[in-house]
Amino acid sequence: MAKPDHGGDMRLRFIHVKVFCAVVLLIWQWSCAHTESARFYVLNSLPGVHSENTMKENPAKVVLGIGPIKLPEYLDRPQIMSRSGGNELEYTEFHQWAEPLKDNFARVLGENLSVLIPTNRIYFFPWKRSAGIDFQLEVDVIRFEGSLEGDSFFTVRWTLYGKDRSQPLLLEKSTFRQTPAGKDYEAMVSALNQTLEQFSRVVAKAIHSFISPQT
Amino acid sequence: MTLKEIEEFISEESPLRVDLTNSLEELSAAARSMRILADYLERHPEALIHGKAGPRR
Repeated sequence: MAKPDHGGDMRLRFIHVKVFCAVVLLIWQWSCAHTESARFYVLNSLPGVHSENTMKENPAKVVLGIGPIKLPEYLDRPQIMSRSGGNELEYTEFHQWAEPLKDNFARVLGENLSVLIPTNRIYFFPWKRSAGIDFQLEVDVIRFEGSLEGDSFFTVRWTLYGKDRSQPLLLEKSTFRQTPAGKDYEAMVSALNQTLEQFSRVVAKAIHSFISPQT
Repeated sequence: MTLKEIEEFISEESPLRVDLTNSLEELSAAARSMRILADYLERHPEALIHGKAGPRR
């Protein structure tokens, strides 16, 4: 008597499992079709490529080392952050950085400076000792953010070292502000991009002021 | 191993060192991805079934 009962119990349980699986699969299939595709953004470097002429006129044999670059922890995410209130941040799942912001930031800064100084010899931290760095730029980002309603801000503390690492040539804190052209993420990222360009120009000018007396 | 061999082994140009640096970078990238995934699932566990919710704007 006990045997057939047990078999029926098992069969019933199997049916339950099958129905459960089918329902789960149905929900899954139905819902997955609803996830929107994310859009990805990058910062761009300055369009100018250093022409042969500017390189010949100003053969600045500057070797520039960039880094270490520090970014606030809350910016180290693929989701683009915007400030929605005084102390409130908002991350958007559907507008993301195409690569870690820190790498993107460093590369664009390097490219901009290589155009503005101009020099081809840019190294990123950590570089080899044989690189023979003339200037080192240390960057500590305090704020690099925008909001959909207002301006984009970039506040940065930066230190410029010469060959002598023990004594900084410059220790500055700069803030840049840019009003975006629109109210979407594209415009916000583009405004951030422009603040980074402004910063690159300030740094290039500072480096020029240190190299011009010698040449 | 002589001292010179060891020096070559750990010098800045040695393949071992380059490989090691690359692997460490890969590892930290993987850890970062895991952190982001865990972070997202912690906030939206229902995403496993529903998919990501649409944008609010």
